[in-house]
Amino acid sequence: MDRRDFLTIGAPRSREAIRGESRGVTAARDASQTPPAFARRSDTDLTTYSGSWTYKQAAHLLRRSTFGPTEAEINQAVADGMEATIDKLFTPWEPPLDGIDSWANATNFQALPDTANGEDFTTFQQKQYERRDLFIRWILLSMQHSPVSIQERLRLFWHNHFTSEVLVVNYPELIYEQYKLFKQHMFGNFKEFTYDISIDMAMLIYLDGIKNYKTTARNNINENYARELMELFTMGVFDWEGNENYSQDDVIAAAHSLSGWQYNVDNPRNILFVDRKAVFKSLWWDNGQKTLMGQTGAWNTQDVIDIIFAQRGDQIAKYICEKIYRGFVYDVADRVVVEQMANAFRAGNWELRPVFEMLLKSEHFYDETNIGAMHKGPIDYMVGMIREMDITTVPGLDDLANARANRDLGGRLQSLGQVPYYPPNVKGWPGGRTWTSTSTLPIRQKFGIDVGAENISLQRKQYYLIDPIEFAKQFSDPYDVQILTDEMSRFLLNTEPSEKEADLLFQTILDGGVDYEWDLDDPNQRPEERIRKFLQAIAQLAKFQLY
Amino acid sequence: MKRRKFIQRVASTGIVLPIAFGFPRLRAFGQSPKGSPFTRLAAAENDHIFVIIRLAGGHDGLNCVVPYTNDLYYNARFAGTADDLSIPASDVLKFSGSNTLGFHPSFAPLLDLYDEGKMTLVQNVAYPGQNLSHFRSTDIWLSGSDANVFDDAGWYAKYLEAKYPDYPEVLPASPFAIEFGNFLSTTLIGEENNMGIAVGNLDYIPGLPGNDDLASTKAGEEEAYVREVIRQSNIFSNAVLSAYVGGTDNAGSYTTASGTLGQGLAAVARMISGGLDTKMYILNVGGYDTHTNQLTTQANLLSQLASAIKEFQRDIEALGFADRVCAGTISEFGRRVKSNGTGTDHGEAAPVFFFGHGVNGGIIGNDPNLSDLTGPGNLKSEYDFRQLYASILSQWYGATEAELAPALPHSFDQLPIFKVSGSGVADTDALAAGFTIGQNMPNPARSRVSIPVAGVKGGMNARFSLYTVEGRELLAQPVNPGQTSVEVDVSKLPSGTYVYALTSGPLRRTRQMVVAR
Repeated sequence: MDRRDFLTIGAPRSREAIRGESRGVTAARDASQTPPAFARRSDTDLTTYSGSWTYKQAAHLLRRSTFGPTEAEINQAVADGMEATIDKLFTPWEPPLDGIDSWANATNFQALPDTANGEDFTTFQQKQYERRDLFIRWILLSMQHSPVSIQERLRLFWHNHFTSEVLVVNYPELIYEQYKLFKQHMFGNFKEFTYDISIDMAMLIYLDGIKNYKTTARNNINENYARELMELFTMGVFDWEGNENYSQDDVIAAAHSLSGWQYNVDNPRNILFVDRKAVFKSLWWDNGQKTLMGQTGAWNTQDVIDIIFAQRGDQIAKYICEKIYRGFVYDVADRVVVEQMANAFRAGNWELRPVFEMLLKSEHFYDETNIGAMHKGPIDYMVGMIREMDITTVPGLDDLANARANRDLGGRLQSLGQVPYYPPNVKGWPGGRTWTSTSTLPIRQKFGIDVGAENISLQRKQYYLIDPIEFAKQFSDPYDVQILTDEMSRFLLNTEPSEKEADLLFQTILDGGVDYEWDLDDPNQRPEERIRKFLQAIAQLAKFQLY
Repeated sequence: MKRRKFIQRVASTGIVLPIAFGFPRLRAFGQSPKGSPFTRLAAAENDHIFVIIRLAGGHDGLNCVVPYTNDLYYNARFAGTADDLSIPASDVLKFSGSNTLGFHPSFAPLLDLYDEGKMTLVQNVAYPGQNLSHFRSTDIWLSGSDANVFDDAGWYAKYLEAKYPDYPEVLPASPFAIEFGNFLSTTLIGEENNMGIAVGNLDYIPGLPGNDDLASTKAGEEEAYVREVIRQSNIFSNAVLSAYVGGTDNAGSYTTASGTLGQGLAAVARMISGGLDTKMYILNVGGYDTHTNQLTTQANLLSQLASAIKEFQRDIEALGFADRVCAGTISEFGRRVKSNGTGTDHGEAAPVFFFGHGVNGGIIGNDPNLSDLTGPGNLKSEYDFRQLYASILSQWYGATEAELAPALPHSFDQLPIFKVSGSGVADTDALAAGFTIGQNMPNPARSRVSIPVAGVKGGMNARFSLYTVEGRELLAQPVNPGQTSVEVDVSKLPSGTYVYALTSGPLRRTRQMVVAR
């Protein structure tokens, strides 16, 4: 079957996948600017990649599986080869608990002000806000300081799947617990992952699980989590042929079955969460008969997970693999490839790691057409630049004392729409082209200008500090301005610059001078200023928005 | 060299608005709109503007327009129990034209607009084939598609695409549509092009667009997309920023209660006053998904909505272009009739509100029927949401039937939401005369209708007349002092839109009647 046809049959769920070929390209204006016919499909699949392993493939792998790999990391990956690099990627690490160590792993925590010891509500609330901000800072720090590991990329991916909002959950302690859960299951067993997230305290608060109960006195069955469990977390509303995956009756049956999970509080004082885990209270659970997807019984939460994975295995495998594909390869899923992934996923009994590895080692992943084809999200973009350009001072990140007062980075992420645990809604960030709009692009480009600038005055006079000379010295011959330009471009852009772009970048660094006079060690040649201009210019290119 | 200078200059000045749009480079990319095919086309179009306020999450209509005489409502919302989620009859704001419905107390600011005939409420709106998913329902509402069709292009964008086939080769002077925030709704995304722009922080500068050859890969395709966004951002930011900077800033006159929605609407008024020709604005307000804690949450949200709309209306009236601007709310669905104890789960039909001088005022449709529910206990719909879109396009924007076709998947009966533009029957300041004429009941009309009138006094020689939209008088009858209603039989009239008026000397008050059968 022709893949183009395959991609457009049925009623796909993502809007990008629906139209397959027809998503509009808007660049055509006159003949000189008419873009070529884009090759949307390729014949590559999950066959293990055995082509050449060069800077290009190594950089592609690290850009997609970490945030902003450094020149040294890319060169190391070239030397190590694909297999060894992927082994390294699937190695968890333990980020230091910078700024959150006093409370992150304490067994219990206060849910209300400790009035017995004189704590008032305002003080308590301030403490909660502080912990929340420092937790989000810690997430970003973990990304910034990560070794070569897929961990932080995967945690963000799963956070955007099993979504939560800190403003709803309110307790940073519980959000932290959830973030630990993402690490525990990030490439483990998806079915176990789904069960654990269903009884995760933050999730129970976020999607009203704790409000979902039935006692002899009250019948407060709340459908919120049951619906999203099926619609967003496992199978989606429709299968690939456009059939509904579940009915409203299934939602109601699941809601009844999922009831009974409650806070584990230290009664009678009622202000301590114990163990940060939910407890199952059988008196709050609807123990009646429920019919879920044709199966009747006195189902509980584990039964719901067992039933939906057994009854809708095909749909779940495809839905999750399509999401993985769109998170790591391209925003429009190639369903031939996704189906191969889904088959492996089910055959492997919902183990995630083999699926991820298969994808990251595939011919399809390294297919020329997919390299540099994803839109950088705000975190990809900002954290990526911080790492790539080795920004040594980041207002809002590195100085704990000032981290809450100067949140320049957080402010920029907020204006671009991606702060961890502040997704737009339970569906998470839609990603893809939505990241690139007339509203966001100028903000992104402005960040490039500010980072490159020597003296942009920000709040409290803190700067994004880079050392252009040291930056240049990591390349093979920083004294040859042509080689330096080419290597910096190769490092910062994910596809090769066009001739015009290359010329623009070269003219920018020449800055009216001549190439043979370039000398990195001669202040009279203003090498530092000229490299800054180069970095500012490269951040203006459309290619820089992609990875 | 130019590019280098650009960067240098921006780097040394930071965030400064005049630099952003005072830059000569912008002209190199934007064609002058004067004399372009676009401006000729635009001249044929009216200057109307519509503001969509999206109540994201699914808004609960029953607590908003409360059927306060209906025990089924109070039973479903656990009235009198610890979980009481209802609005007590003693708290609802009663309004003329109904003895069974009242507004949520938070709607107090809107009572004036309702009494002035500047608020129309359409009851029981939904799409057929309710899915109950936020995301699927939002997609359907924003695109205008059927429930079983996956369309990633929106009704307004498709209308514009058909109307302006040269876009984006020829860009209009102002963007067709603006959505506040970082993302563009499907409504503004067309088959081929984005027909609107997202406007977030107006304080940032545009950057350099690329225009090189592209690789024939997926990466190249995405790069083409980025470049086009950069290009439009450069061109349109000029127009938007000029209007914003040059417009009248009344943001300070909006109350705290109106919140970010009020500030957004203040920015809309400011851009219009600054001369921006944008035809549609979209603002999104979240939080309506009240599974829990509904009473407090909803009271706050409705208070924000009502205050913001009232203040916006007064703002544009003071600025002098209230005749050009109408607003309306949309939400992906209503909520479950029966409470879940602390809130309500996803439902189906709900009322939609329209505001402005251009609307007919009053209520369209029946009270929600709580004894005939659908699905898991949801209100049935009386109107398809596309009937609203058809009415907006046709009655407000003046679209012809041929122009409606590409926007919507089928033909939809319109509702008498707006005063028909181009009508031969003009309104005069009837409020000053102290007499009013209400909306025909039932609405739409079938055979006999009753039209409420009030304030007719001795010596006024008041007269009721019914006209075609072209202004041809079809019937006329005197209205006596103290008379409270006019009865008319329209069973012989063909389906369509008519205008009726209460006239006294030079003073006249008009409304619109739709006859449907």
